[in-house]
Amino acid sequence: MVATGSLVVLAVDPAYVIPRNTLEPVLFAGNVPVQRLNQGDKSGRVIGIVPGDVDVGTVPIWFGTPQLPERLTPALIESERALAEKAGVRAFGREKIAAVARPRVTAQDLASLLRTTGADLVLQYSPQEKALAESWRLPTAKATRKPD
Amino acid sequence: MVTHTPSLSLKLAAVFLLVPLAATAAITRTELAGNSLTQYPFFEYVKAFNVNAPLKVAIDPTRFPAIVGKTCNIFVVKHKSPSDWNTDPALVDVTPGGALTATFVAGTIQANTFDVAAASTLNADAGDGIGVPYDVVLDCDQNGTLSDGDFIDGLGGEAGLYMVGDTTALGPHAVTEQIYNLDAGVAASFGIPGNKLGEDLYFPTNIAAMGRLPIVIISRGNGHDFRWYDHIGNHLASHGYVVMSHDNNTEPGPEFAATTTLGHTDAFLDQAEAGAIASGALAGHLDSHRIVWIGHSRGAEGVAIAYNSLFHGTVTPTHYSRPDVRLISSMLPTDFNGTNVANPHDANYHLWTASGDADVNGGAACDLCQTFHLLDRATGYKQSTIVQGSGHGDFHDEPAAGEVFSGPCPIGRANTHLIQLGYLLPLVEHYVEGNIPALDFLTRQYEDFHPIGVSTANPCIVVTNEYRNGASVGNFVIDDYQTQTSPNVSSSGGAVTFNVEHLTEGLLNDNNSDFSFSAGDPFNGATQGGDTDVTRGVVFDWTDTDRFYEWQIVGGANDFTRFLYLSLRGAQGTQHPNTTAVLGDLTFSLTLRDGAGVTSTINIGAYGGGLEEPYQRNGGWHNEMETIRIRNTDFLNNGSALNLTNIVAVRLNAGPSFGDSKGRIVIDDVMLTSDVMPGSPTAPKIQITGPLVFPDTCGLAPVTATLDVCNGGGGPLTVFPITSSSPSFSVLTPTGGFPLSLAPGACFPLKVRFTPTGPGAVSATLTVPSDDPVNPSVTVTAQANVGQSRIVTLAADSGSFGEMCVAANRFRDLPVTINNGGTCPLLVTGVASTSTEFELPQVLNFPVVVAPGDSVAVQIRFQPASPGAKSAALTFASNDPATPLKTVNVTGTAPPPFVCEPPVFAAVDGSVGPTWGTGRTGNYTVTTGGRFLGSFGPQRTFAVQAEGDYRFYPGRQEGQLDAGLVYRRGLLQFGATGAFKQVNLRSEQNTGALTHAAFSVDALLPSIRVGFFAAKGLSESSVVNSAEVVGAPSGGVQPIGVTEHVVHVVDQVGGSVQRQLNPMWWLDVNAMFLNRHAPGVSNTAGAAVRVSRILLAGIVATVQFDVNESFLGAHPVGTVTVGLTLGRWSRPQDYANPVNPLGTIVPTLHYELFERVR
Repeated sequence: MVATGSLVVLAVDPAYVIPRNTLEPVLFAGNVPVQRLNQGDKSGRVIGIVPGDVDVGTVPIWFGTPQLPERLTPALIESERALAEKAGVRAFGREKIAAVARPRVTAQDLASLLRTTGADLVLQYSPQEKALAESWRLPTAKATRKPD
Repeated sequence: MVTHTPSLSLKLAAVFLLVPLAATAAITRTELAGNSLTQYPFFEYVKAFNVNAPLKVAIDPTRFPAIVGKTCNIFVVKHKSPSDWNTDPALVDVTPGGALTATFVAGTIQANTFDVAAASTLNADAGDGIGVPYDVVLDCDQNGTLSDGDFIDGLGGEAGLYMVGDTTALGPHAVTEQIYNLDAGVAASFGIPGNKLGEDLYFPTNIAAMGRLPIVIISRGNGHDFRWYDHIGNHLASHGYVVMSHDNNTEPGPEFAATTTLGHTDAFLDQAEAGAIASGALAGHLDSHRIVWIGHSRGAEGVAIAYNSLFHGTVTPTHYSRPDVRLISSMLPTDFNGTNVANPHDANYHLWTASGDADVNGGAACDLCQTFHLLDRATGYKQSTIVQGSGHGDFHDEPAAGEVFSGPCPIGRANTHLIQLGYLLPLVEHYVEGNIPALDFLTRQYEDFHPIGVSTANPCIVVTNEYRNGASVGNFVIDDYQTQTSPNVSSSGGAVTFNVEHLTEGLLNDNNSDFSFSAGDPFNGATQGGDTDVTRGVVFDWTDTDRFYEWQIVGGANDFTRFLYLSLRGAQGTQHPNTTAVLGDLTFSLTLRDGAGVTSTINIGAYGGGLEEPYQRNGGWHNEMETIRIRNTDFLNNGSALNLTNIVAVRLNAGPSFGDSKGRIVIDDVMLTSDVMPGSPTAPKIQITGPLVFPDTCGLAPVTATLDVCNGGGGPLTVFPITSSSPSFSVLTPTGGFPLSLAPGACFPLKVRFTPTGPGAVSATLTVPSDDPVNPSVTVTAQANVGQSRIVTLAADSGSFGEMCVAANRFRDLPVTINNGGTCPLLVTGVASTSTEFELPQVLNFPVVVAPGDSVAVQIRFQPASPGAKSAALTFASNDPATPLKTVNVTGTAPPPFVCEPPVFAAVDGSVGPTWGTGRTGNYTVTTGGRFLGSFGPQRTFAVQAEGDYRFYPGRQEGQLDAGLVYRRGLLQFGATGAFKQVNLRSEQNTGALTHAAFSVDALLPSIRVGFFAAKGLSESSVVNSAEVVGAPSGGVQPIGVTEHVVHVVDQVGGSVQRQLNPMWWLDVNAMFLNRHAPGVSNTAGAAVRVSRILLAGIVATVQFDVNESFLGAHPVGTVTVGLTLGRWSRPQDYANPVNPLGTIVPTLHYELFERVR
């Protein structure tokens, strides 16, 4: 469960994010995979959450080898990072990040975050995925009585 | 000739409405409805008919010869349950033309095939279900009711046929769709992440008026939207399902997706019942025990993984459990996780494969893209549907997402959806509702039967079905290649022989990364197994020559009547030259051979289609397994003479004579199946405990016993009229008549009547037909023993009474024991004897009753009336059916009189007379004596003889006592006696005592006795006087001598003769040589002559002359005496007695007196 992190909007090569069910490139930020919130194949913008206290200005962010995120291990991530760095992938730098950074947002939970900020980001940067934003803003099923 | 007789049927129905269905024993249940085929077997019996197809009825006259020559009305009627048929046997035809009248003829099934309903003339509106049920009846007595002699397709839990509408069409229910997010907190409590809260819900708008509805959960694939499955949601909801498509956490991978599926299913049930969803419309209307999981792509793998978690118990949902998941349908699943995780195990599993899928593409180079892995891992009911020309995106309904398709001949999303929905509805109906006609969609070739709404004009629409029944009962796998890896042995252990070419048994796993055929990759195109899977099969080919591949059927599995279908799956080998030589379905034939060598062959193409040509993507894509099923009874058509109960081999014949002239195929899962419905608890299961043993009975009165017929299954059981192999046993028709309907768990005590015809053990086989899919015909043995009495007689000494002398008061009683060795009372009604000498007891009242096991003793008296061997036959009359007159032979012997009453000789006698001779001791003598002879021994051949006499002479007296044993053997008589004699000589001081032993032999001739005797002294001497004599002194010594008088026994040897002179007179003579011991005397002789005459009875006068009769002096002496004998002693008249001793001569002890000095 992500408690803190960085919401990022990344411009990507759409070819990397064409949705498929076989292996897809994994988006990394430093030593953690980025939790993608949208596809971005139409807009070329991927919105994601870099979990934890990662300083996104100081770590490389890249698409690694196609893999299932659920199978990543620290060793595998280290390996992927080594490959990326060997390929010349570098961090954006704090200055660049600082230039685009927005104020910190706080939400009760991930759903709340998506319902507000997350949906706004999708609508702003990847409007082709309006349906996705709408899905986060769907009415919430509320019990009229306390569940048994 | 056929005619329609609608009015007649109605009238007769009215007339016979009240006729009970008691005579249903002769109603024949068989398949009747089906479709004509253009080649053998010329007709296929099916359950499901598309409403736009005609309905035909056929019956094979060679299988049912009783139909030949009959004119019957063919009724298509609304299906009735067995109980409904029982209460209402009336036939009401529902076809537009009314019942069809047809005359059935000998010959072929083609000649007995009739069109009974044109296309689109029967109602197929089954509401939200599939199939309107009908029964077909051949009313051969034309009485308008289902009755004796009729044939029916139906009369069980299943109807004879089902008329099916378009399964691609929406159902009758208006659908309400609601899209919402779960409450994040609630979702989190079920393991659902906060970014996957969405659910798209479809349910019948009028759900409030409905009961609890089954639930279909859709788990989307990666890059998909959970709102892209409206087509499925609306379709199934319109047919009465609640469908919920949820957002799915596929991005991390299928395992996270599985967690989301598990959580959303649980949360949905929770929130729906809590009233949180759809304003509470679903509360109380969800059946949490009937859940279907449908997944797409990663979500399709996810649903299998989710089940795997339930299977292993690693996840325990709150509101449902593993058995509640009735069906998993994976649409184009990935296989990231392999054998141990992406595994549906025993779930009812269905697989969708799109041969033009450009995502999960099924290619040889992408193991995780091969959909078939999951199917082959499933161990329960499983089936697959392969759609050629369809892409990955065609299975959802978002056009903007593209079809994700690659390959020739695309069919597009719309056609894909028709196929998808047209099959999905029967699939779900079958596994959730137990719908019967739905199975036809899953098992029959697409070319033969498919959803009406799918275009038949588009040649690019190619659908391939695979089905394997997963019931734990009702199936027999001939060969699944998982064991017995030798190509010459099937997995069931039977021999496999073949002459097909290039045969290889192995893993169904293309061993390289392309689909180009090479000899080094015999299973090219086979993607049923991944690298961690073990699914196996066989592949071979043939080229323009007839070839075969044959499975021997192992003993015990030869009775194919126990199963409905012979089934196998097969596929054409990808890109093999023989596959690509002719693009299209490939056919071959299947042949059954029985134990007598009779064969019957059916080309699989007879039913339409064959093994599909692999999708021509890049020249040929993966193997497309297709199930071929042939109804076993089809092999019997047109008098094949095949003995279906003793099939010894199944042969796959390929080549020009049997189908396509060349081909290469993969074969697997060769099996027999009874199509036991999924969720076997819903299938009826007949249970009869046998044998039925009647208690022993006596007599011929009918008796009844109870045969409990039980339903151990989960569905209602219908028991049809029971037949018996023996007229002695009959099953009484229950009050409600046959067929008998039993609820699950219920038993019915059928009464079976036994009518004895005679004593002894009797048995019969009762055949109990039912709609139990596994054991449609159960036999139970009925056993009865007509008890009977059984007379057993025991006679002591084997019935021999031994010897019993004839006498008025002499008899012997011996018991003859009468025992009842049977099981019924023995009634002894009379006793008779063939001889009065064997007397029977007087019985005052017959019968004498002897209880089973008891005995009575009957005293038989033997009282002979005359000597001789006796026998008689005693006859006991009884109710022993086996021996109504029991004879006991008895014997006895009455000995002759000389045994029974041997002569006893006893006499006393006395005589007196003068003596003579110079040495006599007096001038006269008086002699008295007595004799006794008594016989003894079994035949009275021994006797004791004792005598005594006293002789008085003036100068001496002597007495002699004799005792001896006499033995008679035939004419000879032997005697051994001892004699003691005391003598008193007046001249001597003392008496003397002497003894001798004598031996005698006599020859007893009819009128003369000649004897020899000898006697030798034992105590030979006795001193009777002594005197001392003092001699003259000599040398100072005066000698003293003793002079003694000694009496000494004289030994003797002699002979005797007794001879009859006339009836009153006889003569005794004896003479003996006397060996003397006295010094200075010579041996001498003695003799006696006696003449006897009977004076009176018991008085005999004698005159006797003796010489040296006892005492021997210096000179011979003798006597002449006369005397009388009182009593009786043996005489010549007695010599007729051949057995008894008659007394012998006991020699008189002779003695002498002399002096000796010591």
